[in-house]
This record gives sequence, C-alpha cells and structure tokens, in this order.
Amino acid sequence: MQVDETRLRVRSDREELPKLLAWVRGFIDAGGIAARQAMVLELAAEELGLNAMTHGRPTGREGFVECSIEAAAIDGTLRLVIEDEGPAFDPTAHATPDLEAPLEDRVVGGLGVHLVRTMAELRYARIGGRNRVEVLVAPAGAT
Amino acid sequence: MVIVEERDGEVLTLRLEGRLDGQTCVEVDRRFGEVATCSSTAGVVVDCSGLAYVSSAGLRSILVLGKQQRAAKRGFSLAAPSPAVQEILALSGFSSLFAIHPDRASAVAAVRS
Repeated sequence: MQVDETRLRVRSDREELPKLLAWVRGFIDAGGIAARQAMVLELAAEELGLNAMTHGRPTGREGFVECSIEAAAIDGTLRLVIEDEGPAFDPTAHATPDLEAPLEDRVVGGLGVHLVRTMAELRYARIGGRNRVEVLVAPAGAT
Repeated sequence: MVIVEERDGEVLTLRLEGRLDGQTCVEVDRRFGEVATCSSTAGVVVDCSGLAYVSSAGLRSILVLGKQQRAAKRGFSLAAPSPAVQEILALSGFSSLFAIHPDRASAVAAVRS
C-alpha cells in the first residue's frame, strides 16, 4: 500500500500531537523549503492542529482531524489544510490577545492563532458540519 | 530538547537546545518549575542561542517562569534568540515584557545588577 505523506489523519485528542509534529517535520525534511517558510508552516500546523485536536471533538463520539500539505508549483506557496469535526470555530475571526498587558496579567491563550494569522494567510469555511482552515504560507521574500 | 545549565555566581543560565513546542515543553516546564523554587538562585537567564523553534506552548513555558521570577523579585532575562525566534517573541509582545540581550554575558550582567 502506498502511503501518501502529504496527508495525515489523527484522532481529535492532544495525545496525537507528536504524530502531527513528526508529519510536518517529515514534509519539511524532504527538502526544498527555505528556513523561514518551514518555520511558519510548522507553527501553523502545530497551533491550528493542536486547536483542532483539543476542541475539534464532536459530541458523543471520537472525532478525527485531517491535515494535508501541498506546494503550489507556480510560486512555491505552501497550502496547509486542517479539518475537524468539532463545533464551529473561525480562527480568522478570533480576537487578538492583549499584547500590551503587564506581565502579571499576560496569558498565552489566543497567541498561537495570532502568530499564524500574522505570518500567513488564513481562510476558514464551515462545510458539512466540519471546520476547514486553509493556511497559505508564502515563500521567503514574498508577501 | 536539551537544557544545558551554567552558573555565574547566583545567576543560573538555562540554555535551550532544540525545539520548544507542545511536546518538548513538558520536560522544560518540569525543569523550569524546579529552578523557580531553588533558593540559591538570584536570577535566571534563558539562553535561546540553540533554540531552533518556539510555538505558543513554548512561549507559555517562558512566560510562566518569567512570572514566577518576577513574583519572587528575582531577575529574569532572555539571551541570544535567532532572528526567527526573535520574530516570534516580538509578534507575541514578549520583547516588551522581558529584557532580551544579544548574548549570555550581557544578560547575566543585567540580571545581576
């Protein structure tokens, strides 16, 4: 059986995070991606993937998170897609965390989505009871 | 993730080597927790020179340690992040929260003073 290394399916359980991290590292290690683009891809996969694993569980049964990565042949933009079966959650509409708060009041909640949204382009759709987040990671130098 | 510890008098430097993500932050949190309660330490420097990657899970680890040091009235600073890690720190608002020094020696000197 041929294994498609550009796709990954894991349970919606944060225990699955090592699989996700290993998967995206494997894609990066296969080569041809500049360091910064690789970092943004990895960050997007970890932050949004972990969100999907943590919050993407449907009520009353086990859910799955499906991820895919593909490179656009024309300009080298990478497209990461993450789908989960959980309640609707639109990261593009997520409030920006307070980045000015004093140390005592600082929290990390929401920071992951903020980072990814700042460093890459995010698109969200709710399709057939599933969240679908698409992340476009431009190659270094492109905006 | 490897944590290399070096001591300059009462200042402890923790050099993070590797990737600080949602997986490796577990062992880092454990070691940071021990450091936070060590009575012979007047201040802590987290040396980021060997840090290749940090996610929000890793930022949480650094934030928790920084808060604990502040609450205990001890010094705390970061040293030598790569441009990539520096960018994450800046976008997260951490560069206005913690002193970030270009190298370990200046970070240690700042924590000591």
